Amino acid sequence: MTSVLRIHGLTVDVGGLRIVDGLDLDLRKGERVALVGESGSGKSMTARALLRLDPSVSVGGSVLFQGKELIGLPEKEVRKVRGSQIAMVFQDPTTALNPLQRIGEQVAEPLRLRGVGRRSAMKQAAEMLDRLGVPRAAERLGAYPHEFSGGMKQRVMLAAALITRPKVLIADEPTTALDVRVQEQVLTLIEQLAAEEGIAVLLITHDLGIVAGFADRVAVMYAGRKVEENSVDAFFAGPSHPYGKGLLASVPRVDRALTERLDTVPGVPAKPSARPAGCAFHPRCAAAIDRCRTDAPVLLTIGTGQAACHLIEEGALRC
Amino acid sequence: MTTLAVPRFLPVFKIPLLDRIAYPATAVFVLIALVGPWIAPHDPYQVDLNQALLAPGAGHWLGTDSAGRDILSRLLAGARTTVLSSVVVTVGAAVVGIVVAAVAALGGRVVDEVVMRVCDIFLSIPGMILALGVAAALGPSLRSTIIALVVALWPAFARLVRAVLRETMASTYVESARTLGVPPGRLMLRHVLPNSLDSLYVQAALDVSGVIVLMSGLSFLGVGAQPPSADWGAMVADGREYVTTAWWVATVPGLAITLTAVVFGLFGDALRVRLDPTLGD
Repeated sequence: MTSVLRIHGLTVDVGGLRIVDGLDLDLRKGERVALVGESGSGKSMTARALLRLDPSVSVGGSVLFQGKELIGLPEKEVRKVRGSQIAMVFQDPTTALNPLQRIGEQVAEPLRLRGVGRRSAMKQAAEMLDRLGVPRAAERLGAYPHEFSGGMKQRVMLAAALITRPKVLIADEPTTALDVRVQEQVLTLIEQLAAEEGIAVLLITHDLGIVAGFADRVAVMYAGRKVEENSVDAFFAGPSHPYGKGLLASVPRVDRALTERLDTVPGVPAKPSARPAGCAFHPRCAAAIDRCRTDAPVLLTIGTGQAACHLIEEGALRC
Repeated sequence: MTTLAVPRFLPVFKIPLLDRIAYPATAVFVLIALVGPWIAPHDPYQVDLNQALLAPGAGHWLGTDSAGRDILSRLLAGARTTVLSSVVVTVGAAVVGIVVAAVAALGGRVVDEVVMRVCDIFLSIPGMILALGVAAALGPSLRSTIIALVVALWPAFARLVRAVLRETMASTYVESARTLGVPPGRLMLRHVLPNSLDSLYVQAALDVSGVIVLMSGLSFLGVGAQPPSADWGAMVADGREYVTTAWWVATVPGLAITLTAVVFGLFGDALRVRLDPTLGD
């Protein structure tokens, strides 16, 4: 299968600090990939860097979109990619819509920007809202965002993002602000549309429950680096990296007693300003050996995936 | 919170009442400014030296000035110059301020820095002195005072609007519009500006009040509307010589200036209470 988006050696520097350090990630047509990690691991910065949303941030490495290099493109060219080729939806739908503009206009705007006539754009907006399960979509084009609930707003956001039939959808914690039932609905909608239109989805999240239900593949980030990547089935069957194991162990489970203490990953995430030498995770790793404190591990292929850990090489960690 | 926003010793200024006073009063003053010349009982420019310096009474309700002209008629005629030019000045300064602020907000760090330091230079000169200088340089006339006051007042608007624009630009919906490929100009006009103007309306309404005083001040000093045109500031200047013998000549237009400034000030306050969610109950 061909890659729609091929990220290679992506680096993001903010004010002299390296937030993302050499990330590799492939997104194939119609594939759903989850990028997980704790707050500050660089997952959101990765998403923003792909669309170059922050002009003050310096982005390096290579991002190939359908074979076209995005890094180094002038802002004007990047703008053509935004929305029409790579779309993005944000965490909080309640603040992501312009409060003074009608729903229809906001959904139709990406089309209008690309020269589609008003009537045709509005018609397509109504169709897209309808597909996303907004009731009486055609009548509600004239409504304002405050007349919609959070879940409906997220559908409006998705409609605006998907109306130009992009090849890639980046969803940055798209369901964090929604209640669980609505989360499920929204994710199902994304899944359906992505399947029907062959859209590749990059889901940024820290919710492993969502990952398990939604993604085909998962990449785990720690301190700006990818430490593990695998198919969802393989990852949930048994992560290779100690950090992945820790994350999975700290998810609450229905098959355990409520009185049982949840496992946690001890310590706090490494700050970009004080990243430990060697493996950035070693101060929090129970199994760390001497080599972890001095050498940075590289990604090794294991089974269907990859992991960056010395213990795997040493055979000290079973996978 | 409410008790802090509304002084207890002024029960009159409870919010609904403020609305009830401010909006109709403003409407009345604007109406007078619009129709003033037509409802004047006498010709405001009719000189009649036999009737000079008459005290307020039956024939001339607010008395006459040194040339025997009816002061009430002159007030009504002058309302147009004073109130409407103040509105023109405020709108002009606000528009210039918005354009400058939008350029600063879109232009990146260097443009922003340069524009805002220019604003600082303007703001460092007292408004009245700057306006007086510009008006004098352009030659005394109503047009000069309008231009002079716009020159003196735009930096305050530019600074205010820039601060609000920056805040709005950081909001998620602007970011979200950007990810959909909206170019900067359209982003500013359709998403940022419409969501930023609330505080500008308040500032503009409050400023009209100050501009009325400033304009009258410039006329009083002789760089504004020229005789014989009926201008409140010029009328006060005319009556100055007779303050001890014919008090009404200077006092009546002076009171008109004060009253108009107060009414527009109340209007600005009422608008602020309405538009600022952190105020009021």
